Amino acid sequence: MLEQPKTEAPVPFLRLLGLQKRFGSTAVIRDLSIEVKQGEFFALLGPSGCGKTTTLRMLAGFIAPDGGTISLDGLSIERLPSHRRDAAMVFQNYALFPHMTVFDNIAFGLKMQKRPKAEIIERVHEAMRLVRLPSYDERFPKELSGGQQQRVALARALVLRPKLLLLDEPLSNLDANLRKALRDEVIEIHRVTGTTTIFVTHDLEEALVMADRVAVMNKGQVEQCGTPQDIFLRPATPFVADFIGHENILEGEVGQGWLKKGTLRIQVPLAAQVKSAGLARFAVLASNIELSERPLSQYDNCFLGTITRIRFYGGLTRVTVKLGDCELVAQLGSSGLTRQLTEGAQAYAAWASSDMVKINTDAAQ
Amino acid sequence: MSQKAYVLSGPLLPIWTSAVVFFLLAPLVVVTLVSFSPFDYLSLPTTDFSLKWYRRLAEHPEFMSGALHSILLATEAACTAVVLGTLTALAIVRYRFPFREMVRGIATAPLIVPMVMTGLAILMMFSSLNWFDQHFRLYAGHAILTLPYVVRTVSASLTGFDMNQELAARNLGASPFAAFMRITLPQITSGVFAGGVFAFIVSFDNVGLSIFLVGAQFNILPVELFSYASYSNDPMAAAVSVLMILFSVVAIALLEYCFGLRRLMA
Amino acid sequence: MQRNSQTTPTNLGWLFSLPAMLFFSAFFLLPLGALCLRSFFETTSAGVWVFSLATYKEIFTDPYHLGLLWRTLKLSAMTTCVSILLAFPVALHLRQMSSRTRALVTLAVLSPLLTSVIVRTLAWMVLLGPQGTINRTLISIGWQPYQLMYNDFGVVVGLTHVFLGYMILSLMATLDRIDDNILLAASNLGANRWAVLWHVMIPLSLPGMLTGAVLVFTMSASTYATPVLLGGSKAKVLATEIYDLAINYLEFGLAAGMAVVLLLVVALVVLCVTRFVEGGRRRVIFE
Repeated sequence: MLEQPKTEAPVPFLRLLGLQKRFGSTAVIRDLSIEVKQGEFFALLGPSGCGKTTTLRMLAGFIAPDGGTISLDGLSIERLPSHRRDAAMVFQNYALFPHMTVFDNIAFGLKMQKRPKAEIIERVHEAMRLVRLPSYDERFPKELSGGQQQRVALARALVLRPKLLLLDEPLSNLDANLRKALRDEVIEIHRVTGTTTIFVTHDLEEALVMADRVAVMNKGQVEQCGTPQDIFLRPATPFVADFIGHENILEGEVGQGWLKKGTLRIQVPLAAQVKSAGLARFAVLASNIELSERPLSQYDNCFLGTITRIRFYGGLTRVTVKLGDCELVAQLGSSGLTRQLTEGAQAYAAWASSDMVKINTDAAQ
Repeated sequence: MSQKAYVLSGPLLPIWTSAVVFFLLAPLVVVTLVSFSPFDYLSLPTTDFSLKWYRRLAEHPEFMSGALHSILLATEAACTAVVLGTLTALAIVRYRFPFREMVRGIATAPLIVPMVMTGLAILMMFSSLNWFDQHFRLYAGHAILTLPYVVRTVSASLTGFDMNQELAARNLGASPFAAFMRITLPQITSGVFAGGVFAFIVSFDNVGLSIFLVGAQFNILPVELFSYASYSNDPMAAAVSVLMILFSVVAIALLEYCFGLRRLMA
Repeated sequence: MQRNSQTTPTNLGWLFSLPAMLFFSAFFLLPLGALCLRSFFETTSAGVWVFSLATYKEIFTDPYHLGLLWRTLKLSAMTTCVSILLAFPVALHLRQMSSRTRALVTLAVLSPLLTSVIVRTLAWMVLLGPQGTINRTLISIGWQPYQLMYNDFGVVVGLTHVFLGYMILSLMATLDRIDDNILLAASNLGANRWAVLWHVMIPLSLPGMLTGAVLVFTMSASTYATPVLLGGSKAKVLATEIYDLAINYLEFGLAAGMAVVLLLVVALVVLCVTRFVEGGRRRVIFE
């Protein structure tokens, strides 16, 4: 009912091209270009101040870009006022109308479109069912919990069947459990409606779980744009690698299939493009490192080291191991075996060379 | 205060605001100009500006005595209002006691009860007691009238003040009294001072209540001006008005310079 | 607020409020009580005080007094409405000004409040008088002079000028508190400027509008100097009559009665309007 017909368009459904914005003398957005396919769930990810919210507000029509274009479904919208774009936004603090009931809040956009009364009633209830809001029609926002207000805000936007749905960190105001539950619901809603969605967040996990594609932003530009796997396993720039949280970064001389760091000769995947002999950086995820008292022959990288620190996080335990003159962090499940490890003891740290990720040393292209 | 993102653009609002500001300020400007008129009737000076009306003020001792009385009265009333009002505000904001709301109500009632009613009531009571001290009854009326302003500004200061600071001071070894004097009082001084200045200005400018309580022995400036304006049509009244405006301007400038008008109006 | 009140030393609360309460009892509550009481009594020819409602009967049956009451309410209501009309766009504009312009405009709006009512009323006498600035200008360009003073018009203009600042302040405080995001959301959902104004800004500013209106209405109804000077004998209101009766005719009983009527009627109007506005706030979107 709420699904959009899928058309194969040669021009991307949403295209931001060369967007620029300055506030005073600071350039907040520089030369931003992104393409989004119809029906995609697209995340803008980055630290605070990177410009992701500004970008979203430019899409919504609250901020006029200083340069560049935005085209939505073939239409150039960067000069259109907000009320004439078809890009509905869900605010971080929900921005519900306090003086209107839940029903009136959701119906607002339809009333602005001057739809007939019967249609409005039907579509509002449909939207309420979609976001799993019980029949709270006559209640006022202040009588609702945070999670319920969130659903009203979503329903208010979705009821318009917009071409573009803009979500501004919609889950950050909720506590952890509610956040996970609503996250799944948002994914489900997206599956049902197929609305093209742009989602802003600073939470890495959220972006990786929810998005079809992610744009990692920094200082007003896109550092890398790709699927969650791309971003995570093949970070294109040092910033992205750092943002993802790659901690075990090994830098050293490289040759065909090896990396030399200090006294260690580490196996790296042959497929990793190494231009020529020189320096390179590789990282391995903490969760891909195994620790044992005995050497583990199934891994092509296995070294003896000393445990310098153990931290218990409940379901996980993080162990810092000193190998030669570098320190690596291993993330282990808190099993009985793990609990036998002690600080100061010797242990073997092992990982597969295929789990090593090459980190680019150049800045974003 | 951060810049708002939702902005209504276009010329309509600025034009309207300018018109309203003009409406509010133009009369005062006109009065100032009229006070310099060389003519004997209310008019705008055309070619010559004359100070004769200011010089003629000396021939009207009632304005001088009125001004002195007004300043004296305003000082007395403001001081009383500050002392009583600050204490009351402290009581209302910081302590829970029975009838607290009633105290708050009584303290703010003079703002709601018509001034003519308050003035008449005080006049009637003093008269029935055969107590014809004009100065004192004016003082009583003005103190009553101005106290709510002090209560309001000091309450605002107090509610904005984080009590935890005083508790922290006590935790670090200060007695409750010392904590209040060294931590709380310095921070609410702006509220107390603002209340005092408001009280002074309200008292200095008051007409509605004062007309019932003035007399031959003790008259105040606004009422003198009112009487003069009722039967005369010359620019003398304008000259007196200008001086009164100047007086207020100095008071406002003092407020703005010391504490920032915006903060006090919040 | 919990963090500001201490629950144990309640006697301090009593102690601190005592001085003011004593002062108020002596010079405010007692006189007012006596005044109310006085309005219910009159002396017989034998010089004895008897309880009687004659005062109130006279006030409510005499067309002259009823006319005064009516005019007082009418002029106050007109002043209030004009104030709201003038103040609302200004408050809207103030909301979005840069802090520097805002400070300047706020100062400009508030400074008249700090001058005496007599000064401001005088200023309007200069402008509106039969030989005042406005009429002189009209004559000099060939038009006929208008009767701008000694009538309802002059009084409303004068009262509006005196109290407009309070209305602007009230509205400004309320409009500022409206979350920007709510307005952006309305705009985003398809509302143009006027729709946002009508559906969101005005409903959300009603509390402030009401506070300001109550303030302006009550103060207008009780003002003395402005109606006297700008209205003369053609536009008398309750306040002027009360003064006349008390000072010029020494009719304290009647004056007291009128004062009580003034207070009660104004309070009644305020109560009714407040109820009406509060009740009308639960609107369904279809009306």
